Amino acid sequence: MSITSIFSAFFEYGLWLYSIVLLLSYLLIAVFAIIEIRRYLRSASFTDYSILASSPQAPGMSILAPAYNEGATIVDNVRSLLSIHYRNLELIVINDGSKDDCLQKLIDAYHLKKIDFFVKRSIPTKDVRGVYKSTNPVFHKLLVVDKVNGGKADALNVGINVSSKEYIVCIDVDCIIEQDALLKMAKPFLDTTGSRVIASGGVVRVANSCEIRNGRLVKVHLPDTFLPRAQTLEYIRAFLLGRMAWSRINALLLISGAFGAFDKEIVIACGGYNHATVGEDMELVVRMRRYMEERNIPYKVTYIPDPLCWTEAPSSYKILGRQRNRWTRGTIETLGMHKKMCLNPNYHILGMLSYPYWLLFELMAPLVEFTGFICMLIAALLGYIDWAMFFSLLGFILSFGILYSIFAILMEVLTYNQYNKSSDILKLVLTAILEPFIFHPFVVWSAIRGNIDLLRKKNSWGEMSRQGFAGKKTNANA
Amino acid sequence: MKILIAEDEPILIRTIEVRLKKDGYELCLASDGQQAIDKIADFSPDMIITDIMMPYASGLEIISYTRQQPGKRTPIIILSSMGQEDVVLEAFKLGADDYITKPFSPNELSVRVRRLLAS
Amino acid sequence: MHLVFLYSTPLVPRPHLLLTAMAVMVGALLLITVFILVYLVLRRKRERKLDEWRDQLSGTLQRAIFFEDDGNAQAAIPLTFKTIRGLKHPGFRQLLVDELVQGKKSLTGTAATNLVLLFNQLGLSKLSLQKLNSRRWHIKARGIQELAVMEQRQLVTRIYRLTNAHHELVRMEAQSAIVQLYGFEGLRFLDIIDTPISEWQQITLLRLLARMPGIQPEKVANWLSSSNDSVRIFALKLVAEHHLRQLHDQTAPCLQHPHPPVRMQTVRCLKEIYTDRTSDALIQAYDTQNIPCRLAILDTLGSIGAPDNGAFLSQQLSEAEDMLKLGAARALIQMGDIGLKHLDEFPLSGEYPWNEIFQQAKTEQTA
Repeated sequence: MSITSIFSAFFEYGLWLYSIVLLLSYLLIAVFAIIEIRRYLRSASFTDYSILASSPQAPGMSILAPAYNEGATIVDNVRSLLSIHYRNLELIVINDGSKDDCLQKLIDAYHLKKIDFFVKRSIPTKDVRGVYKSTNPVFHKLLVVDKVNGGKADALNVGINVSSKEYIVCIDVDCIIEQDALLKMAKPFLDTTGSRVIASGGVVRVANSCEIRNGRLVKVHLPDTFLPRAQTLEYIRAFLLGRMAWSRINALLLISGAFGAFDKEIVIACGGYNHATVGEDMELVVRMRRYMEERNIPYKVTYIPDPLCWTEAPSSYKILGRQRNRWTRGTIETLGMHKKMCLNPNYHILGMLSYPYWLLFELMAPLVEFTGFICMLIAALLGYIDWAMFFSLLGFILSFGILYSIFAILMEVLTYNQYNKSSDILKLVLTAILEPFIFHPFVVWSAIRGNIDLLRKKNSWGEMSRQGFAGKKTNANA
Repeated sequence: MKILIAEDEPILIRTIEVRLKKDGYELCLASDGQQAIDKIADFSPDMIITDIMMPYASGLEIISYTRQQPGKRTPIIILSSMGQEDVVLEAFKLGADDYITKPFSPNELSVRVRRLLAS
Repeated sequence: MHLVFLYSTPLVPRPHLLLTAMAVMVGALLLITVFILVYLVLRRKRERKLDEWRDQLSGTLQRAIFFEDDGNAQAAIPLTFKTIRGLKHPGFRQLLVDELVQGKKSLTGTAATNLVLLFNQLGLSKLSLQKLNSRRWHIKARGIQELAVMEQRQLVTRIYRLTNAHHELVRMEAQSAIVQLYGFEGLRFLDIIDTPISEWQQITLLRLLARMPGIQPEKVANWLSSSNDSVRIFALKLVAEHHLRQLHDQTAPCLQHPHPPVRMQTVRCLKEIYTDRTSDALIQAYDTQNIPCRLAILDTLGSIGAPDNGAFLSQQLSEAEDMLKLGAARALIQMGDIGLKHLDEFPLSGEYPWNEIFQQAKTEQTA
């Protein structure tokens, strides 16, 4: 056998095997997700969350919201966060050295006054310039911390240092959080006996085109434009199916930085957020899991499928590209930092399943897809395979992908049904059909760019411009 | 006498409505906090009965908002399932006149309303 | 050179097989889409029906809530014609049960009694009993809840049997139900239970008990020495909530319990029932505790505010852990002038971090 034929065999079999395993994993994910969501919804159907709202036994929660140059919307955002139903709550807004009037707006709107506050140094951070509290008793839950710019991870660590409660809820300040979100997020920490819940994630939904008044979501609409709509579909697949399935087997590696609750004691024991990576949200969860595994302490990372958090998804290719690029770099960095776990039985399901899966099928999928497609195309062009084969393979994979998306839509309709107009469903179906041709290639390309950029050692968040929930465009320093 | 009721549980809002209508008051209903705040401006009620935990704006915000309005001091009764000392104290500190915890008796509510409006 | 392998192995299907698979998937896809659209239509219809039914019910519910029997014990609550019509539908009956349960949870006095009266008058307990017979755990649990809220004490044996049910959540609902029906008496299961009671369940039970009289301190004392840690923790919470000062001497030994959450709960509990012996017990136990527990001890000592604790608290100002310094400072300030004196006399009070810590503690007090 010649070298080329060995290579060719390896390539064909490898690609084929890869695709089969990937498709099978999607099927398994679908099955597990159904089981887990059903269990959750049934349990929630007779749970009275208001018991927790009025109980003095409810665990204390600190919401940590880092803010950088959010002056346009910060007052509304904070107002919306203050209306969350939870008693033992403190809302900590960390002004990460904003260059705009973010801090001043807060001081004016909430009658803030600088107070004497001793900031613990549980986690080393950049300097804190001041801590502010409101003189108006209505806003007594609000605490604003002004610090020297240091990035999101550093801001969150300051929040952890300042927090006085047992659990921290890390959010993006411009996310809209449902009013009973914390009641639902707190329950898993209280429900489990026998193992310690160290973190709990929530579903993030796309808020584009939704009616928002005073920072509160009033009515849900399907996004008007294609790109946010494609992301809506993607989020449904990823959150409702993917994460629920992984959390069923307690192998979830990632909790969105937009909305997640953590046991503060463990976070501090692990050293807080790592600012050496742009994927600090994923990296923290992996490190926390690893911490518990290494000490053989039974633990869980749970996930709530209820739509509790709404965020504005990028509506331009440029911003979307940066976001996906960053996510890819974050994933690579995180997996790199914890490569000791790979296929290491000491880490149980984390090392034997989660890590390898994430490496092979989340990280490498874009690369495999891209190379596979190009090679197949070239092979077809050069006559090594006939076009029938090429197109039927392509067709097979495409129809599986679309079918999976439609299935995700079905799950959404059967569970939370946020989009209940028939026209919306048809628009989603159309999006599912168009997605593999427009959205998906772009995402794959951004992921590949992410790989390249990391190799080139770029390390930044990029400028994220947001349209603001009121619909106005902020000054994009793009 | 006009009374504004802010309550998100349908059966309760109906019960209170029936009871107070029987007592002869004119009623205005709001099923969430934002609606309540809007109606305070339009309806100028002589009394407000409000829950604390409601969508969009809490009862405490409603108290705060009402106390900031110029003109006569509108009596406010809180009707809430949150009966802990600190919540009750906070409500009174912000300017509530009475606090009834759920579960409550509609007849008792009626008596308290009458007493408060009389004083 | 061909891609020989792709064609030569049975593992890789021929194009026509792939195309067949593709056709199947496209078919499934269309079917699901149609199903979704039909489902949406049906769901909307169902919701409209439910709204219609709610309107039909509302008259009867209000009549029930404001019903007065005028001394006639046999009097029945009059139903509206709309309600009588609706009762033929099982869905309507279930909605009525839901509304009655919702109403009963939020109302007291004659209104609540009348809702139970209506529930009994219409024989709706049959519906809830049916649920107990279901094999599906969430339906069983729902049934238990309904019977408990609507005070169906005659079915207590059925419910009690379910405190040993296979499914955890059914067991928990049964436990809550018994407590709801019998108050403190219903906690009998704590004597024998060997499974842990989750924090959530404890919160639920405490809430139910908060409005009920009849707490029996002797029973609570027994639970304080239970081998089941979660029972012990629950007992400590009961002691704290109901201020059972007479159990102080049975509580304090729990400071030596091997399980840290038990010790933590003990400290919190002692804050509510402290006597003149508490400070010593806490100070003695201090060194063997972890940091969160030590903080709780400092907090409790602050509440006790005994001047004799001043020396001990001053010592803690030199603790390595900054939060403990703050905890000690706060406790000293709560002691009043004596405490302030200790702070001012502390040799390092002008240096970092003590200056900031003391400043924060002082400001908090005046706020």
